Amino acid sequence: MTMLEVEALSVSYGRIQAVNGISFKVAQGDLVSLIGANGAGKTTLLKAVMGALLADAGAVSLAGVDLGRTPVEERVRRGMYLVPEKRSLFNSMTVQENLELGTYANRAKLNFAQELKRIYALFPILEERKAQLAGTLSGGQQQMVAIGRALIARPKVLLLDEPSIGLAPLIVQQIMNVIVEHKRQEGLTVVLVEQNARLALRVADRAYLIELGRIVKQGTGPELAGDPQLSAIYLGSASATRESANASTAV
Amino acid sequence: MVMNSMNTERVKAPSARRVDPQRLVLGAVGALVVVLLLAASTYYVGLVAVLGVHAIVVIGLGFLMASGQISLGHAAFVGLGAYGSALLSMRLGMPVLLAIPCAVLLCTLVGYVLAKLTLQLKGHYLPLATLAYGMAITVCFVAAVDITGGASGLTDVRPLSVFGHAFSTRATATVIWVIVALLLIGYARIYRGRVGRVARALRSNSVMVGAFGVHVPATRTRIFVLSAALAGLAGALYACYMQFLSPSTFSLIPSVSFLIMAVLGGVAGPLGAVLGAAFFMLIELAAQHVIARVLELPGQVETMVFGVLLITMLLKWPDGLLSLIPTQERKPPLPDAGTPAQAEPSRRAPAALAAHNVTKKFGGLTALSDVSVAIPGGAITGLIGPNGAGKSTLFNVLTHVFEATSGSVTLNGQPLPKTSQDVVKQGVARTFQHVQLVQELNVLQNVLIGGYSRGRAGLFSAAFGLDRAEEAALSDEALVALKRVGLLDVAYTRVSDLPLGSQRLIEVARALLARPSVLLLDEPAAGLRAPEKERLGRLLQSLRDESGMTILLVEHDMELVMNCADYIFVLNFGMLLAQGRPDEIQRHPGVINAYLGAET
Amino acid sequence: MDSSTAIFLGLDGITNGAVYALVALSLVLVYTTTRVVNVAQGDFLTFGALAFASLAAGTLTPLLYVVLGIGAVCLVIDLRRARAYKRSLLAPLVRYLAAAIILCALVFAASHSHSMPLQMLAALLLVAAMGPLVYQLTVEPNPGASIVVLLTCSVGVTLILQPLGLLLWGTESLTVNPISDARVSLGPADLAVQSLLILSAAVVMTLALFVFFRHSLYGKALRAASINREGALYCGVPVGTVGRLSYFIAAGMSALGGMLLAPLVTAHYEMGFIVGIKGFVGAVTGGLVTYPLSLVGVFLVGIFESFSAFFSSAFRDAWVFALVIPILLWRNAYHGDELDEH
Repeated sequence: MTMLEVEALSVSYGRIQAVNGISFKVAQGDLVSLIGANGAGKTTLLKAVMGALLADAGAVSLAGVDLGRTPVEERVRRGMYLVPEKRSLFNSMTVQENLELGTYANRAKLNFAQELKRIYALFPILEERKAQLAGTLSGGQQQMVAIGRALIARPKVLLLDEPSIGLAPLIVQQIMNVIVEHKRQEGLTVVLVEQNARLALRVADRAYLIELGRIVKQGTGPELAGDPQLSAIYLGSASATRESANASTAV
Repeated sequence: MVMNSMNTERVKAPSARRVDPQRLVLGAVGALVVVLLLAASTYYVGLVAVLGVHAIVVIGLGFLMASGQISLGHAAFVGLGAYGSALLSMRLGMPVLLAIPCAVLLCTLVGYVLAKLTLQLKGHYLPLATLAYGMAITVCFVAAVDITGGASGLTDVRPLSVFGHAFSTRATATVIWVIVALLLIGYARIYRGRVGRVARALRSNSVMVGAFGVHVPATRTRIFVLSAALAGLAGALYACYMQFLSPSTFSLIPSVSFLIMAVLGGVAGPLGAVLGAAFFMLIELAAQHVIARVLELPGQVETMVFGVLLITMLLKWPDGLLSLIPTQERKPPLPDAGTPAQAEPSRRAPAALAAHNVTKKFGGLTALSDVSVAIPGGAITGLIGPNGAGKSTLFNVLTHVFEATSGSVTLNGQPLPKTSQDVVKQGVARTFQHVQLVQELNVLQNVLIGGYSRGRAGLFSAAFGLDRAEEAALSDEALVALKRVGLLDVAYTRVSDLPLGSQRLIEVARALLARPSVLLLDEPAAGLRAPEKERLGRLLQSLRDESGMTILLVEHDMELVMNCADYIFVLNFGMLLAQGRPDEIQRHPGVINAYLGAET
Repeated sequence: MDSSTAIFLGLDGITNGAVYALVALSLVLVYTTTRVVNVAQGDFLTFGALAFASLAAGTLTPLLYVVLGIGAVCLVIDLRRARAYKRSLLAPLVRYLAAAIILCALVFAASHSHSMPLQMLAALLLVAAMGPLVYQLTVEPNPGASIVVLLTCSVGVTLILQPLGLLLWGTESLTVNPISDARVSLGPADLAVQSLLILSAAVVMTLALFVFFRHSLYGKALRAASINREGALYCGVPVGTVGRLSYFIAAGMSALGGMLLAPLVTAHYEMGFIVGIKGFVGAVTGGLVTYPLSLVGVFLVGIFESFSAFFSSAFRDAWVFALVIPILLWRNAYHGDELDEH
């Protein structure tokens, strides 16, 4: 079943057309990666899907229901959660308070204590630091809080905006493993926006290459990863040869 | 020393507009003032005089606000200058021409004391403090009845006079406007000059300017004291003109009015002060005539109009009237493309930066533990490690943003100077993880900030035009640096119009202007696309090869580091895990486990 | 000075300080939820007192018309936004109409009855209603502005509200009956019960606000909206309405302060200004972020005032203002890192 559908979405920022008629569908339980360079329009797209930006044209549907111009708080209540690029944590509040606020939209339906345990099981280091102020954590730990804050509410759709920025490869791997595992167990639908194409393609069920606000290529993760043209543009020309050599032995 | 070599050909830049609109407006205002001073009735002369007094205050206040500070109590300084000058001439018999500078001196001293006390306050505490002392001083004007005449005012204040001849009101008004004109010229030069550039940066990038040799508290204090002195001068002139002083003229409401004038006019240049003061006065007059006489509404409505005006301006045109008038800055023509790239002394002696047994603790947390790294001179060195490994901390210790808890840092065997201002003078320059460019300035001006530590022109040198030679030399050097990074053709573009890759290159150009022998780059690849990373890598390699520069790269991005570094240090958990050539590091099992994971 | 004078001055100081407390608490509430340093907070105190006085005197306070007028403007703005977002136009219309009807009914009833609780309630709600309107017009257009800009905007607001008070009520002072005329002996001091009522209101509100914002999810959500607006938005916190609600409560609290204070000093158009400044000093002691410290701060201000009035009166206010600076320096030194550098 299609969990999220984006139809011919167009969003402009002043005079700049940041997103130009993008359409894609995400089936329930799938992870879709949107890759592309800085400024391709990926973050704008996510914000428009979330309702934080007003689209000029097109529609977004969640579980078959057209969201129209529903406000952000309503979309959150219906189970759509965005982890923004800047993480946007409440730095002067503790880790636990940050997680607690993740339950705000659906507080009536959730058992906070139980959900908190679940998140601590996913990210044990957060339990160690639960009384620490979020602003004092390292980059990777902050990203865990941001993702935990979204996952605690049992979202239907998780939108991740460049989770790997500024983080060491190992931490990113850890976090992505948690997400992929969670997705498998809970049937979570994920839309991952990433500049790090290598990472994004490895975990994707389906991937879309976005350039200047349009989808220019689509396919499964391995399909796109093996495309030498893609490698040249986004992974660096030096790696192009390496990547196409690895493509046949892709992980 | 003029940097550009003799064989550059200067291309004449095509001028799109013949006349600068701002100059036009300035000329119009000037002409109007002259006409009114010469020909109009006393009533209008009075208005012009008061306008001039306001303009003097707001010129200083505007620059203060451009540097990111605010004063909600500036009328108190005006009052100090007014009462000071009046009392000195009346009670002590001082000639007025002497009393005025003494009053200005008084304001300078009071301003200095208050600045030292309060400029350390962060965030919204500073405006609150200015509000507090502004009101305290005003209360004193009223309470010290014996000295100041209290609420009923001080009468018979002596006017300006020279050799016993008192100036007429018209003459005094002219004197006021001559001073305004001089201040406009002076401040226009200040804004363009060495301190003016970093002043604008103080608003949003105070850490960055510190790294290029700016002593932030001292600079802020200087700008504040100057604005207090100007306010005092305005007050003293006002006293000579009105020959009557009442404390209410220097209370909270006038302080707020000055703020409104500054906001109305805009603080991007001294012309804004004149525009703001003039506009404010026009509205006041319109309010009085229209609201009071025509509509017959009570005077309070006038204040309400100002309130609405202030809010509207803040919400819709926060940069004031000045931003509505386009400006054509003087743009010296760019050197011809044929200029040889090398205009600076070539290969310097390779400088080696080293950390010796550095430990850094933040309270109970040990960020670095006995780390020793010797960064080879004339090579590109990478510093990598997982998040939280201590790379940023080590970087900041190497540039003396932090002081190590124990251990030392040496440059060519000598201990590194104590402050970041001195560090940059020793030839160590850096870039920043989050690009720190000043949005209000164009590319060239941003690059010029890098040369701050090598210049000497202060506020007064700039105001009196004594910095021309220094500025010209620095400008040429900045253009050469831009050419080096390949951005010469966007020298006059606003930095916000350029992509992130170009902005990072501008940061490198800026660092080059400090004539560094060591260049430190903090995650320069973050957010860059592959072609941009390659360009950066090639630039770094050319700097190493052509100028013998020592380069340290702190990075997460393996591509950039592995492709251009000659040597790599790996940190983990605050300790040195491994060091060696890139291919060695890539094969090192400890590093692979800790950091690279399953990737190559 | 003997000990009984000192105790007298001390108690006098505390009861005076309590008067500033409600304004101080309002300032903290507004700041922690919207990052606005609301210089105009004292004006809500003035309006509360004067509106109450009008109603008690049996007149239909003209403030009602002003509120309705501005309310209409805000309604138009909300309707236009609803249309731009293609949402129901009915919802805002119903909300505004309901509020208008309730206010009119209450004010009408209050001016015709002799029930003091009804009059207080009507005046309170009328002034509280001004809060969200002010927020909508001056902060909502640019909620992410720097603190200094927001502060300057609030200066603009007080430039509008203060003269408005003068326009609506003139310069004379209006007398207001206290809730209780009784007095009570506390050691060497003879205190009005009204003062004790103010004191208890201050303490109760401090506790309530403290508990609400520290320990309830709703309170945390309100704080979160000002700490990181984007983060709160994506948690589903209605960041748009948070500010309006905060201003509503803050205006209401200040209005209540005005109504309780008026019997002691008579109601006139300038009363809010001075109380506002002193409440400010108290709130600043808590760095504008904590309720309990703000309460301590206003007590300190009150005590300081009492003692310095005892010694010399002309420069008293100057000392109180100057007091702000060492307090700010102290807070800056120990809590400077809490300040955001937006």
